[in-house]
Amino acid sequence: MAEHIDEPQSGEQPREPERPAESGEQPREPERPAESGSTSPDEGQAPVPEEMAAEEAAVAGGEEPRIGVYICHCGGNIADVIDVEQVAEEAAKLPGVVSAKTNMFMCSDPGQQAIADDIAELGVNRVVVAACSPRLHETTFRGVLERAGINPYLYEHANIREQVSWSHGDPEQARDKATALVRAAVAKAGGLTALEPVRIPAEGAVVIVGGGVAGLRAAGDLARTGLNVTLVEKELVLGGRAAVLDKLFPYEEAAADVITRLADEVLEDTRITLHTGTEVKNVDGYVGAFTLTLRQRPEGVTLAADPDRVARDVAGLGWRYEPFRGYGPASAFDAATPGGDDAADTAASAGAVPAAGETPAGGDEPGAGEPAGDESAGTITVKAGAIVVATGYEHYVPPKGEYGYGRLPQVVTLVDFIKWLSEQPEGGTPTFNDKPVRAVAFVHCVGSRQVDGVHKPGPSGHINEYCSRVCCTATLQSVVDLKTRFPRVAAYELFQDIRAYGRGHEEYYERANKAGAVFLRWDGAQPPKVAKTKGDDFPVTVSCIDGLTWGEEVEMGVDMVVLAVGMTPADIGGLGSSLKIPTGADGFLQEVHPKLRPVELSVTGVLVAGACQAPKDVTESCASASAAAVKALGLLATGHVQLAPFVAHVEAEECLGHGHCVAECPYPGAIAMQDYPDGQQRAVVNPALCSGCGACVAVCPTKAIDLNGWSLEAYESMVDALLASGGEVAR
Amino acid sequence: MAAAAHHRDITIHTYSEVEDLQPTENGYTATVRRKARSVDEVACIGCRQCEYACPVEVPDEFQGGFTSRKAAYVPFTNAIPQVALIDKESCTLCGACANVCPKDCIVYDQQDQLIPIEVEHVVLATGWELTSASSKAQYGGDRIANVISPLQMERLLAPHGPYGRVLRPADGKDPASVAWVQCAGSRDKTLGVPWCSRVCCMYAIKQAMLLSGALPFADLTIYYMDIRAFGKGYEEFYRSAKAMGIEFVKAKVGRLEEAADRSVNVHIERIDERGQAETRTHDMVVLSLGMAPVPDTRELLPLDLGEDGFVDVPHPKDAPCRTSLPHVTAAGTVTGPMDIVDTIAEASAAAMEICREGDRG
Amino acid sequence: MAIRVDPTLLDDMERYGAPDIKACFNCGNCTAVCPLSEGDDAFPRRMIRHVQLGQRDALAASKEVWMCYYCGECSETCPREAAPGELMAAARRFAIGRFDPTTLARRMFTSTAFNIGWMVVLFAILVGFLLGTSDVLPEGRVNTASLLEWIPFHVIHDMGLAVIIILGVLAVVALVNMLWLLSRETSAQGAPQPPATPSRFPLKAALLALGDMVGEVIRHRRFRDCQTAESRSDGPLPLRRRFVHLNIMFGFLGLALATVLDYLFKEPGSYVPLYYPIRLLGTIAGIALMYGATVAMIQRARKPERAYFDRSTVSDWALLIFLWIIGATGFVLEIAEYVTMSGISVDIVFLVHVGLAMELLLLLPFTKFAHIIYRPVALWYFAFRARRMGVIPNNMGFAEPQKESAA
Repeated sequence: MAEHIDEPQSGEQPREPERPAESGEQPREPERPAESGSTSPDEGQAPVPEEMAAEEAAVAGGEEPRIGVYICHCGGNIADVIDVEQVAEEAAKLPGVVSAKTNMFMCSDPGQQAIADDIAELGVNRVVVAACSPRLHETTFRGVLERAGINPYLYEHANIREQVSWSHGDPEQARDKATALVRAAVAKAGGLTALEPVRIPAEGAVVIVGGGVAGLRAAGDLARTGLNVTLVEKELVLGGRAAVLDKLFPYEEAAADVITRLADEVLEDTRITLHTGTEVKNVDGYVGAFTLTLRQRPEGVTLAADPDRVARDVAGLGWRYEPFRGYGPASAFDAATPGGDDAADTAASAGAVPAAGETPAGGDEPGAGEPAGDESAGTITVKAGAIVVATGYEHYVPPKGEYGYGRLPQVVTLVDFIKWLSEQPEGGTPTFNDKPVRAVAFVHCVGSRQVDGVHKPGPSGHINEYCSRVCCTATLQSVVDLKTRFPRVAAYELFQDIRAYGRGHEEYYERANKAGAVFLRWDGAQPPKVAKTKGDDFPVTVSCIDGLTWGEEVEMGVDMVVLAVGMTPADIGGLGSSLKIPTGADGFLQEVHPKLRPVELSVTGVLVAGACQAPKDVTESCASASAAAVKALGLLATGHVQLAPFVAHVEAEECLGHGHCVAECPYPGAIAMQDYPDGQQRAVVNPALCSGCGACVAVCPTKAIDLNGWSLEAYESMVDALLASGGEVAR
Repeated sequence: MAAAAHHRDITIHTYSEVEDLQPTENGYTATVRRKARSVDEVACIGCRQCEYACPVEVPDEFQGGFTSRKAAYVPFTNAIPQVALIDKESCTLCGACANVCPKDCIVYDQQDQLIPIEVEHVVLATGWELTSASSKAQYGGDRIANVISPLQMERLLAPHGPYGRVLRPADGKDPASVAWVQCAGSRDKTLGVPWCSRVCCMYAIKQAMLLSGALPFADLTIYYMDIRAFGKGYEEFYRSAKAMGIEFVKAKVGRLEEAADRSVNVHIERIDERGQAETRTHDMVVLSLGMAPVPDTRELLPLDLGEDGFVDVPHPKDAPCRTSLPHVTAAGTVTGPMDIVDTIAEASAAAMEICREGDRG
Repeated sequence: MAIRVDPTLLDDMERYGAPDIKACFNCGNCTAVCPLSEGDDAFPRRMIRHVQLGQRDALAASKEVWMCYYCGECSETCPREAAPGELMAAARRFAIGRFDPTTLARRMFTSTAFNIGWMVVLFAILVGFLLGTSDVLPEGRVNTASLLEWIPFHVIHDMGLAVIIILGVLAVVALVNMLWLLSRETSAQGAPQPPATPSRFPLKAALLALGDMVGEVIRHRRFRDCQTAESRSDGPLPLRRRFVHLNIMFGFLGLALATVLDYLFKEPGSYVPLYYPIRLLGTIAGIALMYGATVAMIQRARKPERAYFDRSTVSDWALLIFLWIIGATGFVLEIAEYVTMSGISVDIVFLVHVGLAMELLLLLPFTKFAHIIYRPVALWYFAFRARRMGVIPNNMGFAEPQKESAA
């Protein structure tokens, strides 16, 4: 048994070595700013894995492994190619195997019951299931072991579907390969020891980044569950992008009313801390123990969580809604308008905020609303057990010249149009730049569904192939609004497909038709053309190769062109680079699984809500925000976070402090060199950050570090088992 | 399914319906009618001997009516619980199943049970129904054998489907040409369904993509009015479907007729530069039917319904799952057509609504 | 040459009696279900598109407006309930309005008040002319002779001539209008063109086309094809629309022929027996006309579940009512010839008969009745184009489009 080495004194911060700067990454700071009440990896947690490894693993039914092997037909997916009965026969002959069975569907109730019965009646204490990919049912079968009373990690899975029956056709070779894989799994199973999940005490607090509808919804929800909530908003006002809207489809509710309702719920709840004008600069830590560094502009406002703060007196707080600008205190509106009314709108609607490390494209856009200088900003540090990212989106800003944008004053975005329309006086003729508006063209899919070779890539270097989901309905709603108020104004809708998909959306399409709007259909490769008219009544002519008119060219004279601009993901700055949040090909934040885990990111403890994950309308954003909130609650409700035990552990007596593991580890902070009381530096693993990739194991010269559940010895025994098959394994 | 079935805090009642919900001070008293399976659920091990012995065959609804099942049967391959059920309407009480059952768990005279349950909260997740295939006479009124519903096509494509491959129903031929008729049950006032059912464009493209793998030489055509590939990754999927050679034709199908060789003639007007009235023939046609509300929601709870029959909520933008009744949330397609992605988000949102309710300030 | 959108035509169409057409979202269902749509001769969506884009000339110059017999299948299956069949009817009214040089047709179609008012006023004018020269009230037994004393034959004769001359001039002008527009639009559209016109007029093609057209008009072959599964079971043959229309058409033609023959060969006011050929022709034709008009009116009033009766305009009813009254009054007069009748009532009947008949003819170019000149000429024109290209024309009741044989 390993000698117990004195643990390093608690309270000492692990010192991280300098890591070579990788391309695109900032070199890590050698020291962190002092934090109060920080949780170091080895404080207050359950016995660390090295201690577990040092103990004898308690095994049901004695130390001798009694292995049960269960082979699944998978309906026919496996059995149609592999003779599973033969495989089971071979498995039964292996040393340690006391039961080898097959079942039509191992994951079904009777299949699971067969395993449970063997555990109870035959004293099976190690289980091997050969079936589909472990991604599907590994957890299911672990659940069987747990219910049957033995440690769920005394389980090994062999994939004989994706890796054998679905990829090989020859039955004999497939059977031999399956047999070999089972042999290897049995070999590993024999060496498995019981493991306990890693438990980390969790901070009962959540930080929500983003004060748009999604962030507000999540904050309101979480505060009511007893967790501490901090809401961080970059702008000086709440409401996000919904604030630039007039009415929300399809119920024609004023955006102001919805935002006010959501925001008031947050403001009235004295358990919520609110920081406006604040951005996340850095995040350290891991699930249960995140530390966020925020930076707040001088104009920003903080409402502290304070029961003595006047509860339910939102009016007394002096917050109000300003149309098209958001919900905030009076000062926020003054502070945001150094150059007059338009600057705030420009800040709200100007997209193309440069991604981290990139320079802004072109030089034509007015400066986006970045706060000037760091010196005048305040720094705030917040601890949280989980983070909800609700950073929303930006409106696509067409490059100069796209459909005449930026060149012809008559070409505006839908966001501008909505505001313009709301400002037109009732009755009479609407005017734009003091000229009467008699006809308006609306162009769909601007900045979305782009085509290679037709559209220029944006600042990200890619074109936007995705659909922005809400623009069709929003445009139709605007057309209906325009025609209802000014029936004499002609409206032309130039679309690719009308994607009025939601409840109540199709009605806008019908109403637009019935109001006399004319629809023309263009194909992605041949978008409409917008040109200044030479010597005509109308200042602008729009022409379109129209699929509804047998591909003929159709042109119309208009006084305004409205571009239905799409959504682009907002820049999440320090949050993204600290946490390495993955983005999809479309640039939006990438959830773990669109159906099974739609609000979780691959970084444990970080949830995603709203349009930063994909274009959404307000309903969908609020639903996803509540979903993210309940997931955060689920993570933190028990006071600790439980992670899978497949983490690295160091045999302290073998470790000579070379430090190669730290250099190789791709997860910052997962391993660190620490000073032990005996003066020797040794590697210490932080189980919360370790992902179990095993890179450290590969480079350790003394084999001092190994993975729980995936030991070197296990690999050796598996390789031996495969080689013992004598080269029968299918190539 | 499996995760919910084995969770220690979740009790599942299958083959059961909520008959009544009485409001109480803290929530509701639910009366659940657990219909009689005629089988002792606890004893049954799902061995299927009863199924093998049963002499009665009836069309299998789960397999789209393409194959048959027995009167005593396990509903489908991975049913949870994996327990047998006797369809009383078809059972002839011959006793064959009872003779072979190794656990002696056939109970012919089993009665429905009425189970009262006290709850603090009700989640309405009663889902949707497929619009009717027969309501449009121009599409054959459900009498053309090779015109099938999308759920039937799902079964043909499924690994545990009726035939193990895609065959056309009338004569078992390998289809060389398959077509989908979009908006066959939606966006059509003559059917009484003016709304868009939201999922049909994507499921048709999915089915076509699966079929392009299963039948690489088949001609696959989707006739549509608009392709509503609006979600994350959907437009990209649509583009890859086009790249796979699936033909997308903008045309609302006007009429379907059966040809002499059981093929289906499709009458359209193409809406493109070559647009003209055409008749095209396919071996098989799938009607992309839509989502309709389940009809009996109001019998249980006095909820507001929209004109379309789906449930309305007071704040559909900021609280889509919170109904007008305290202690009642709604999740999924009961509030309107939606796909799995949005349904799952709503399900979690409904859970959050319940967690919120505990807060008193 | 790009099409320039004119957004005002959609609103105009509302006034021509197609208020629902704005709901159209171009799905193509109507064209797909139309039993008469063939290949490129596809309608009604093409017409709807012309309306949506404001292509007035293309709409008026289309062949398809004259191809539609209004089975109503398009309207019954339209997912937006945009009533495309009604649009086809409105397009016909629009075309009639477009070809009429006087703008009278336009006004009559777009204003019910004007329509009815003008008909009443015109009737009064005609009656005024008819009675203007009479100061004799007949007494005793009424017969044609006595009637002709009340309203002298030469008055009827002169007025009749005037009516026919006016009608003729207007018809010729309108038809020239139509042919010119058709020619301009069909050569502009980029469709296949007949070979360049040789120095001499392609007489053979013109005659063949005339044959095609007359054959179609007489046999109503396309009318027979214009039906749906549902309307095919619209009851026994005598109640079906094609049969009813055949009766009205041949009834009218027969009566018109009898009138002309009467003028040419019969002494005005003289008595002839019932079996006199012209009288016989008139009687049989009259029965046919009365039967058709009566059934048509009953069906239009009862509105069975067929879309084509959903919306009846003044123009639709006026034609039927005119024909019916003219026919009924004619029968009364005929009966009065052979059965003793007396009194002023028969005189009134006579007055009404003559007045309405003249009014019907005078208003021909301005009402639904105009289809009897436009449709045959339009059909002929398109058949002529096809024949010049050496093909058998579409949509004329031939089995399928085919090339002519070398002969």
